[in-house]
Amino acid sequence: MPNPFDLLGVAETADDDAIKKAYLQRVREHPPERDPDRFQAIRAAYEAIKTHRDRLRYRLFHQETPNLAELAVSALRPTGARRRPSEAQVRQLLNQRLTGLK
Amino acid sequence: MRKPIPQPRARLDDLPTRELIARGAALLSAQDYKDAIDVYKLLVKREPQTEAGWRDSLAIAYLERARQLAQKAMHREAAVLWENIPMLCGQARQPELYIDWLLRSGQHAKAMRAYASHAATLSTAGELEALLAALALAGQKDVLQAIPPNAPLRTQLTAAQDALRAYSQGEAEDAVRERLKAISIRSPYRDLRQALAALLKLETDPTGALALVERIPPTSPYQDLVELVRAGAAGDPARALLALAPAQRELAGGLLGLDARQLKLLKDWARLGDAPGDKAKFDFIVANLALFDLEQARRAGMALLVAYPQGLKTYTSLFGPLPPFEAQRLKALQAERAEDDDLDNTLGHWQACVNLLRHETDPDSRLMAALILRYMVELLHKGDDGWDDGSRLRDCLEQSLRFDPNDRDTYLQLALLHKDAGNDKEYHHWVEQAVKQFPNDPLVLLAAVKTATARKAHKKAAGFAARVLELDPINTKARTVLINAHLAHARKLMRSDKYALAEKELDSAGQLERDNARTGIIEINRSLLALQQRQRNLGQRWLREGVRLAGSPLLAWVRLAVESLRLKLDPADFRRDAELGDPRKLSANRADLLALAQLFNAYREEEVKNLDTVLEDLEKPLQRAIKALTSEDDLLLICECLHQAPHYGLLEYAANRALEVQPERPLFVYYQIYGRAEGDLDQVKDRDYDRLERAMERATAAKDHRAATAITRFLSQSPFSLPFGPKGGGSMPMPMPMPMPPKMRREMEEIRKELERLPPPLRDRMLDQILDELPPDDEFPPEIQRAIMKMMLLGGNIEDLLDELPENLPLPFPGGRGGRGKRRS
Repeated sequence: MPNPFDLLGVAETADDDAIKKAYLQRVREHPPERDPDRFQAIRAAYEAIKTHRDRLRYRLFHQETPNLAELAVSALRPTGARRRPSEAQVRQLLNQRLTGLK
Repeated sequence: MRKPIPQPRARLDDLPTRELIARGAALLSAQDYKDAIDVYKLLVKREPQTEAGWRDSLAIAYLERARQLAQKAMHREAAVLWENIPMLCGQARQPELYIDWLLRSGQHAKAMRAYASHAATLSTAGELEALLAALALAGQKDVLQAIPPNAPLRTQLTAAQDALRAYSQGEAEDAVRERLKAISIRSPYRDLRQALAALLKLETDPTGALALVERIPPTSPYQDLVELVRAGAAGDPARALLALAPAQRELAGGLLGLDARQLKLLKDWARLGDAPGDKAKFDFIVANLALFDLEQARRAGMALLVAYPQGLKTYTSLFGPLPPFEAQRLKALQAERAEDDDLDNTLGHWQACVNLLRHETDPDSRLMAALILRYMVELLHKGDDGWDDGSRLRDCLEQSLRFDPNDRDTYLQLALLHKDAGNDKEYHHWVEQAVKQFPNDPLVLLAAVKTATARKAHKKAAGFAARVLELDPINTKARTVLINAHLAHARKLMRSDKYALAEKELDSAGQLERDNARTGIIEINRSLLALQQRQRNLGQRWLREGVRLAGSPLLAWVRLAVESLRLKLDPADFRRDAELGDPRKLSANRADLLALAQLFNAYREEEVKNLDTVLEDLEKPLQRAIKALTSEDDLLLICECLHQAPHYGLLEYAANRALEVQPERPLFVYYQIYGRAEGDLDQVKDRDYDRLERAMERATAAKDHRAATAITRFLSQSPFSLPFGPKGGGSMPMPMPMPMPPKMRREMEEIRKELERLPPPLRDRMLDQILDELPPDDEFPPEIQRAIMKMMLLGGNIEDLLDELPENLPLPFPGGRGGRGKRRS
């Protein structure tokens, strides 16, 4: 099962209300009649963390290795100045596409 | 279309021209251009002067075959094939394709020559020009040299280069736009103009940039620039970047403003691929730690330690030592994950976690301790090997309630475990505790109804059921229980001749029954009450009403018979009053059979005894109805019902029919043999025993646990069951008593009787002699072999046998002596 917090888009510190709100929002985005598989995943995620007791249980026993995407995405927020590609880089890109040469 | 079967070459040469012509046409229409080329080449060779269209056909075959090769990116080969065409028919067909293939295979000089010579006839000059222009911009010397100094392409190239230079050198937006204006709308660089405009727009208006690249066709040479714009404008650019080729990714990262460390992270992330291993993930976190939120990274790193314990040292150096509880929890999860999966070891680690929390007073710690203990119960259930008597489960659950008394399911589970273990007192105690803790929970109250009923405290049971109905008026189960409680009380009163009170109870039951769920049972009891009071007319009226409500004569008879027996009356006495006729002549259909099965299930829940006697009179109608069944599911349901009843004769009959529908299904074989042997393993014939063994093997192989369990349970009836399972264990639980074949059983029984007859000293000598003469066995050490044989000849049980064995003796089952589950403390 994917990380239920990620799936519902809530922080690990979220409380019951925030989790329920996020769950209902996700269900609106993926209603069961239109997207049954996604809905099932959302439902399972909600069941796994909906109460304080559930969240404690999840933290104690879950064994899924973490999804690094969230971690990576948060680390990839632009921090520096934008850089335009150089002429040489554009030429190289064109050459690669048109001739397969690097 | 089906491809014509290729003919051997020798035969092609032998074919007459007319036939070759037909074959060539067929191959062309089947798009088999490769073989068509061979045919038309042969035709041209045979009659080169002919004015027929063979040369044209050959040219078509070459062109189409070249297209096929180009589609497979074999541009060089495609170009070579195309070169045959002008020689054949004197004119170049679709030279733009040829030039395109030459360019794509890197033959730029040749392409430019072909471009110059076919310039007048090019049909899609625009696309080709755009390609040539892009190559010129990319700096391909052959292309650049071939463009005449005063050709329009040269002027346009200069404008494109100026615009690109202005953009790349970071000139202001307006300045770049001025340069872009120099590229006309008809220029082969119009897509470049659009792409550069989008890249500029990306800096201030990503959505606007996306709109601009929408106008660039997918075949454009500037598609890579388009992809950069799309990735830069994506809602989740980090993930969009991953989808790009490495060179594009770096450029797009720059466009977004990612720094060198972020670009390295992106590169590392891309390298991880779709399904990275745990070590790779851990290393990724460590290598890019400076960029992550430290707490997030710590949590991710710790989660990875379960699968990658080797990372602990690095983890500790980066995030500090794990708190004692977390270190212990990690050990427990690692033990659980270990391949050898030693349950005792895992449970030991979890228990250590509980011990660490034991003296904590904060609510979360206490709740965690309770959750761990309940989790240990789950693990014990999963690892149940048949050794445990349930005491560990009960102990864990009881402990957990001390930490967290607010868990309904734990009370109910605990109560049920005590019930299964036959600890009635404890069973009732825990249900009572649950009621105290959850007085308004229908599930708890229903459990309380059950315990009260089991203790024959019908009034109490009715009270609980009434409470459930107050809380949940549509609870069918509670309603049924309440009706049954009133009925049971009414029967008790009828048996002690308290008819007026019994009538009141029946009235109460009647008030509870819903109009759309009447079964006739209350009316039948009213009739029996009236008949007992010699009110014949009234009794007959109620009985007829009960029969009507029962739904069918068969079900009515069953209900009448069961209710009579519960009152210790003979149902035959009421046959005439019921106007049902001879039960043996009743007719029954599939629906009756299925309803009967459902009714029997309900009776079993009420713990009604002697259901088999009820079926005696119905054998014939039931046999007729069973014979007409064709559905495997229906037959399974009926067999199960008759197995539970149990009615051996009908069970065998139904299983015979089921085996006609589904031959050799293990469960049906079992039902047949079980019925035939009347549930007694000793009565199983040798031939059936072999069939049962084969059925067991098939069930095990097919993971048909239901059949395997039923057969195992039946076979383990044998008093001479061997105490260990078959070699390899299979999927059967351990320990698995292995029965002996009937013949061997009989021989053992004879020896046992002989030994019993002997005086003790002589018996011991004789026994020693028998044990000394045992043949060597590869699977059992001699000590075990002797002990087993002794146990089987003199009686005893497996626990005693194990206790008598020397301490270090290896046993032929996993875990050895005192292995998993045995004698756990």
